[in-house]
Amino acid sequence: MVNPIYIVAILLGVGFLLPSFSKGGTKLTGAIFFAALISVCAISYQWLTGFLIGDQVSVMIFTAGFKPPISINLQMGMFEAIFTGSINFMALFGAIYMFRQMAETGTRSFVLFLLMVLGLNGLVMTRDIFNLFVFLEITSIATYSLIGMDLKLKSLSAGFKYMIAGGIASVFLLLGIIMLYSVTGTLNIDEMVKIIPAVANIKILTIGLFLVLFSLIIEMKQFPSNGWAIDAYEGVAPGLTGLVAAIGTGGVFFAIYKTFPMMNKDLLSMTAVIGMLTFFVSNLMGLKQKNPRRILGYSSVAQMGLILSVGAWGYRTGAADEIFMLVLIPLFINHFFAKAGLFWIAGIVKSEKYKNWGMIKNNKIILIPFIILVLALIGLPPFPGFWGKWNLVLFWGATKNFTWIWFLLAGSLIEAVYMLRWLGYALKGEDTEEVKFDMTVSKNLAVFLVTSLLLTIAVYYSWTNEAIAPIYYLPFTVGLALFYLPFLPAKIKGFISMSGIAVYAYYFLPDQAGFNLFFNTIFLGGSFFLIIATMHSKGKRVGFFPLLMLMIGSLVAMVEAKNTLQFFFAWEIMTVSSYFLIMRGKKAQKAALRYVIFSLGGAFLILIGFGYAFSEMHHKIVLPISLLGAIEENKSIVFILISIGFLVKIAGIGLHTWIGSAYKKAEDDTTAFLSSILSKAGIFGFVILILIMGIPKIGKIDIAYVLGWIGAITAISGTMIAIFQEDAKKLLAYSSMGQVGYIILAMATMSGLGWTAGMYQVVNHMLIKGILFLAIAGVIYRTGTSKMYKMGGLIKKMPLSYTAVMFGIIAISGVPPLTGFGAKWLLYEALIEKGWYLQTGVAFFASTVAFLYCFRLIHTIFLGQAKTEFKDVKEAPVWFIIPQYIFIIIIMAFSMKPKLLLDMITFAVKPIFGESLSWVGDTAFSSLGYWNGFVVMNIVMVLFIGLTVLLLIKAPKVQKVKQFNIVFAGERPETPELTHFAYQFYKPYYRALGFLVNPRVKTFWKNVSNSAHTIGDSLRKIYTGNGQTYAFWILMYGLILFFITVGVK
Amino acid sequence: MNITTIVHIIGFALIIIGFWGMLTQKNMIKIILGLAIVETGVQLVMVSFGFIEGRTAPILDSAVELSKVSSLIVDPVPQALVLTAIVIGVAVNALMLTFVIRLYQQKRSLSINDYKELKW
Repeated sequence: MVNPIYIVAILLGVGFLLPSFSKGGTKLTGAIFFAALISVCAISYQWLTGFLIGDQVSVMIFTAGFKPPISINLQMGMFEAIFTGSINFMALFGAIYMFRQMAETGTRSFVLFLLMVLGLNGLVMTRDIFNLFVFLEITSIATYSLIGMDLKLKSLSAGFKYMIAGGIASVFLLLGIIMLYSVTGTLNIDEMVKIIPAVANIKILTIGLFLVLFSLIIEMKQFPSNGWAIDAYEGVAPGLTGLVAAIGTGGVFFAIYKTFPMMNKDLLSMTAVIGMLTFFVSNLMGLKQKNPRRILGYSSVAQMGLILSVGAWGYRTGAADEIFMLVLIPLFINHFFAKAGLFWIAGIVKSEKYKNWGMIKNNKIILIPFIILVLALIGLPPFPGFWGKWNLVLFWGATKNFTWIWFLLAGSLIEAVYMLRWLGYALKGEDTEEVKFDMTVSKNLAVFLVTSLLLTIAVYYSWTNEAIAPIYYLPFTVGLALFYLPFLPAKIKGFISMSGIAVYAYYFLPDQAGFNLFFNTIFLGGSFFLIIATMHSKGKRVGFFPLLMLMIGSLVAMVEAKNTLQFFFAWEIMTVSSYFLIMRGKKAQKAALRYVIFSLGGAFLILIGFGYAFSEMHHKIVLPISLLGAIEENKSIVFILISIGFLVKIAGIGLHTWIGSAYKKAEDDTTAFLSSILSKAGIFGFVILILIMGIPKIGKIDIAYVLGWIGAITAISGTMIAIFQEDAKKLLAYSSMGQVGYIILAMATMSGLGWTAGMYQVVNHMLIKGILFLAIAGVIYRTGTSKMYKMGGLIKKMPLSYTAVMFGIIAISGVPPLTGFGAKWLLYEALIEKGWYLQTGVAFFASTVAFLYCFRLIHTIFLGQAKTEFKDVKEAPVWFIIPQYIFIIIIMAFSMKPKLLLDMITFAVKPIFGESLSWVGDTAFSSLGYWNGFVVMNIVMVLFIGLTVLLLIKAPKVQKVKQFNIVFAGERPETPELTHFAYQFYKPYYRALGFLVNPRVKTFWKNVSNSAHTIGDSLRKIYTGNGQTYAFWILMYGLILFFITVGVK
Repeated sequence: MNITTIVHIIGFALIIIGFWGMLTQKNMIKIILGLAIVETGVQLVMVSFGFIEGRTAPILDSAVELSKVSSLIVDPVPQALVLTAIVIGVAVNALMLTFVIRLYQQKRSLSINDYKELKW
């Protein structure tokens, strides 16, 4: 091992000698500069591998031949190695990024850069508190000077504010240090840690500790003493800002972390609260930002707040080392790479408005790292931030700090809102001419390096997590592999996807049983056939198939999940992949954002639920899902939180505002997946949750009863909203919401019959919505519109689609003879058996009202007058037709022989609820009645055939009239289309019942969003831009904190 | 009142005066001077912490007998620290002044109120 003192020696030595080479030109000095940085990286790398892979123990390095306290000593342990390693590698990347800039200003910049890195390394390694001050000042002075190299006004004024704040901080630090010295008689941190607890509660000691802590809190840029920092993040050149955000705050954090062992519990609690406050408030203020760099500034400050809070909390509770490794390091690394990378990208894309970022969507070199870094920053799997937050929830849950979990996840959600909104503009925003890219090779290389390193670390974290066995990742492989095959045509990619599903099903389905088998069959089987429709594309559909297969893979992985971590991992992957799938639709930007925010909110509620569950388990065990049943104290709150998470996914009433726009704006065949496959994820969640936990009661309130009503109201609301839609896809979206409501209603009965009805409806809905959405997709593909009133008379042009829709609406409306009838029959039986008569009435009413929207699909699209502009449309492509008819065949089979399906369901339901249906031949007997699907089918067929024959005999000979050859009551309409009344078809009903479908819920969520924005907006007004105000805030904040923690005693 | 207390009071008074100046003066050069006054106050406080009544400066010359050195001189550590702090303070102040010059070149104003482009 190379002595780490050489890190200091090399940086300092080269820094001082470099000017003497300046005559050799920037090429020479640049080469020496990089050689110094690379050699420092090499030393760090050696120590890093020594600690992480080998069995290196931590070492002390003594300077000047003396032992402390006479000399200054440096420490190189695991934590120091990780921090100096990250700092040095990041410094190298930063130097690559800034190379051109620095070369312009000459050797001076190189020297300052080396000194900055030196200061940070020293800050991490030194064990002497005065030396810590010196290194802090070296870092600061070097940073100020680097800022000053850029002569832009913004950079200079931001730098000046930065220096005022830094000056005040260093004054406090000095005062604190001298007070600590006067009590302890040493400057060595380790000695101080030993002495301080032994010293009686001397006022001057407490003040000294407070001053040191507060000074470093200013340096950590905590709210509200951080206006200068946010201005600096915005105004200073992005290359340097990225470095300051990453390595600067990293070094300072390590410095403050070193002082924690000295601090008393009051000061640590204060620090934890300050950090969390900063995390939450800064994210809130970030909501209103429009400038990418300022967005990143707020996000940086927020992240540092979180890290500070967690660090202090770790020492407060005495689990410091564990928390450092499991939470702080992943959170830090995540922030470190993602933030630097994003700042650097913001430096490449020269636009001060994030709305103009639409330009980068055509530039893959920028776009791909941007997507990766944004996802990492939000803390989505598999990035380190995800593991850090997960572990943090585990710790906080285990120690019953639930409020902290709420704040953590609320802050994270707000951060996700503004980061994803920005990402939305990058993916879908309009092209603007004014944005220029700086495609310098060195800049893009630096971004590439940072992104790849972050990805590598993400893979390392995912792969080495003990709670996730590598086999768990199997369902994701096809999706991941497809990312590397963008050049293949869509048809081949579709074929690969289908083969992947088939192979997986062949090998893994036979080993499964019960509900796992049931849902996996639905997810895999349904997707297998729906993929056929996606192959209609003649192009390559780059990006579509990988995302689709990741989504399907996540569903399968969710079913396979053995513990809460695996479940949550899959749930998040599902959310992300479906978000990107929706985003692929034209103009899907807002819809996708709303979808992902609701989904993430739901996911976080699930996580909070797990947090409450952890409180009753030992935190080192990742909670197996089956153990959720063992929870006693927090049972109902765990159940409710997780339920709400699932209700978001199935668009339960109140949480449904995303569904219309998301289903409408997604690509047409994607919507079929969303409705028929993805919505069942929430149902599966409920199945698992209820099977393990049962449905608890709070006092006298039975949650099952509440859930039943939620299902019923969702059913009626979805149906009512669907009636008044003019857009076919929106109509089906709300229909979907209503149909899934029945499933919840059925399951809430907690009876064998109810669950049979629910599962029957799962299959029924999967098949029907597959058919209907694909049929509509075919129609839209040909007509180019999804507005129903623009269509009409397509029956002759698209007879196959018409027939499919006909089957679909018969099955959905619950009339004999198709599967919908069985679903409704079982549902009503179950509800009556339970004694829920009112709910039965509501379900019955909803199901009847559903005829109204079903009728529109047939009437408005296929019947009536053909529009002239569609007189040449053809039948939908065969790719759409095939899966529809496969589903129709399956529906027919299940309608004729319901036993085929019911046996499968009984197989899953029976072990839990016992026998609920008995069979005599094809007749199913429940406790209330019987049903023979075969006979019903035959009767209906006989009736239909009889009526048709009767009509043919009785009807007079018909005269064929061409479609446009009509006269109305002696009057000839100007345009024949007007005779087909379709627009606002149910307006009379709307007058009567419209108040029921007023968008109250939408208004509610809009108000929530607006208030958050307004609060954030008013809060950020404290950052007036005046350096003096910032100084005032720092001093006031210091005084207030002083009186809270020290002054009172 | 012993000398340590007096120096303490002067030091803290300077700190408060300096902060007052930083918060009330609009001229950026005066703000820097305010910071410099704060720093001076801090330096006085630091030295006074190392002072012990009746002892001499920690300079090893003929005035101090080497064998009894530890009982004859004041604590040298704060004095060493102050030296470092002064150097650093000077560097920071000088750097701040260069910023002011650069800012003045751009906007021809020394008032801190005129540099509020970045806010919220």
